[in-house]
Amino acid sequence: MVNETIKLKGLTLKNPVMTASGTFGYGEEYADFIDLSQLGGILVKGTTLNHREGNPYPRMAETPSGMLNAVGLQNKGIDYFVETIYPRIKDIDTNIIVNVSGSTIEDYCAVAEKVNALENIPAIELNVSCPNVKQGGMAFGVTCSGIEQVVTAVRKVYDKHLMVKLSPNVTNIAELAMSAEASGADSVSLINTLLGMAINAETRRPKLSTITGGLSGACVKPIALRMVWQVSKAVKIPVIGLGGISSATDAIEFLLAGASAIEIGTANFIDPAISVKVAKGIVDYCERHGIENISDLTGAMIVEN
Amino acid sequence: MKKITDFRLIEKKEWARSTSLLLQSDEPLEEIKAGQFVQVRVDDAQHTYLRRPISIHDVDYQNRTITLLVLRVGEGTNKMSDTEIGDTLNIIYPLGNGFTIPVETQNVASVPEMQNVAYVPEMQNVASVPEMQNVASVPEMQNVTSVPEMQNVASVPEMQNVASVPEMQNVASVLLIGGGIGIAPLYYLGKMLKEKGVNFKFLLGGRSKSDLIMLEEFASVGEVLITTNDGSLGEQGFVTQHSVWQKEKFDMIYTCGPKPMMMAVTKIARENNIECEVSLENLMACGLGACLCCVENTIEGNVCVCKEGPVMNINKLLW
Repeated sequence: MVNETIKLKGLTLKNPVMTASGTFGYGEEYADFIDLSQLGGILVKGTTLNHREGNPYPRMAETPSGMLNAVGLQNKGIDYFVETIYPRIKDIDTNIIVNVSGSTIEDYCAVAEKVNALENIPAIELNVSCPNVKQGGMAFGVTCSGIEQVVTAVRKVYDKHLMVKLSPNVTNIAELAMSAEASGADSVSLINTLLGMAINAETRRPKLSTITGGLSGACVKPIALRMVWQVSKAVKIPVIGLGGISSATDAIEFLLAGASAIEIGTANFIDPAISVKVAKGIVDYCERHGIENISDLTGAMIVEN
Repeated sequence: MKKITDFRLIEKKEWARSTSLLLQSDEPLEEIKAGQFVQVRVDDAQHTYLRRPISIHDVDYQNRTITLLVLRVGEGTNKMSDTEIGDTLNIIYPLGNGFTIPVETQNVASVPEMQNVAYVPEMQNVASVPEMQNVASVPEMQNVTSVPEMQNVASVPEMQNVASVPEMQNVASVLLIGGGIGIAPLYYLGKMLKEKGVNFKFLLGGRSKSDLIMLEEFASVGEVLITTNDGSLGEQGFVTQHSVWQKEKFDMIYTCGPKPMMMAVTKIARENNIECEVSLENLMACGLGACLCCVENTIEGNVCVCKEGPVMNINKLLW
């Protein structure tokens, strides 16, 4: 019997598979397809202090083996989440983790404080890296001082597991991960989307209303995997890997590169049941290889000298 | 309930630019409302990553089949159109909301045989009971006597076969307006309206004769009026220019097709105070209301076309 449990500080996952923010709604949208209790966790849609309408349509474009999105953090704000959504989802038998975003440090802290009070939410994923927000998100996540400021401030008002979601649109992601760790993060998750764009050659117009947007899907996997490896060597806190994972094999590559757990995002659109299939596939792999604990795979990539 | 199922292609019809696919499931079908759609998996090539959303054209619960009409516009739709008999397509269905089927009980009191029925409290709000709006399309509802709200009503002999009361058949005069491949979901809608005894017509438009497919099939369900831009079939011009607008008054319009066509229809509906529902086609990723890519801006803010649509009442739109 393979031990699937992943233990993070103040956060225990029944298996390493979680679903990525922005791709899984609040979980309910996928309940017809899978048993949500079979997931290690659900990262719900990015939540901001105030209601956000998000960017104008069109917000997406399909790209080779992937897609661009420019949703712009549309959500009804933290109060609506606390009053209306949380009561509906708090008893789902998996870790419900709130993805927190903001334009200012005060906003991040205000949201984090409110989530801190919610009994059934064991962690937040601090989104310092959303590339679609014009004021703020991106700015914090691309400099060490930006990361230090926001993580230090949030750490003061949030006392459960603090996961910081890193942007890949930087020169040296390991440095940023180290800043997050030094400022009190309990784990880092990476990668968020890569900045990209698409043009309709016939109409000669950009395909996204915001011209550029976030790239995700299978095409980003090699970059995400490389960054997980680099970050894992630079920090001691656990690393949660995401970016193009759509199979158990993909997930295992991320574990071997140094991830303790993974998130599946865009792949959910193609197969809404993929997350539980990946969880089972990881177990199958471990059985085939005689591995007792999935956590033994973390960082187990072999490099011959 | 939404499902992910493999459907096998059992029959196929091809035109120059479109294909009709008759797909069969090994399992009984989920309940499908006219206006809902499916998401078809096409991801075995670099340029076809996400599923393709296609309206449901027809449903046959007995044979466990659905029919999709696919217009060839790119690699994904070409792949679907080139599927061979016996091959399977992986499909998520049924998605989205459906067209609102009218329940015309407001005029019940004016029908002599129906007068005592109008005073039955449960009948007065039938139209506002969501489960009652698609009476004909819900198998369990076809035997009205088994519905608690309707029990005392069913004992009124005149109510047992509502559609046969002559005055009820002309209460609603409905127009189903389709443009190009947008005619697809109107077929099943027409069948549902016909079952309910609602008086309706199809008004189908295309650029040219070759753009209009399945016309015989539509004609077997209801009267078909046609426009083509080049006059190669039916009346020349846009659907909004057909002579029927001068000859008849309509209570309700359902429309699906190119956005400019739907916007022109909306304008007429608003000017004449006609209730109208459109079916939108925004670019989608998940199709489940989770990713928020396919939003349409409405009086309620940005809502997902895949979940709070694709059917929307024009009174919600900012057009």
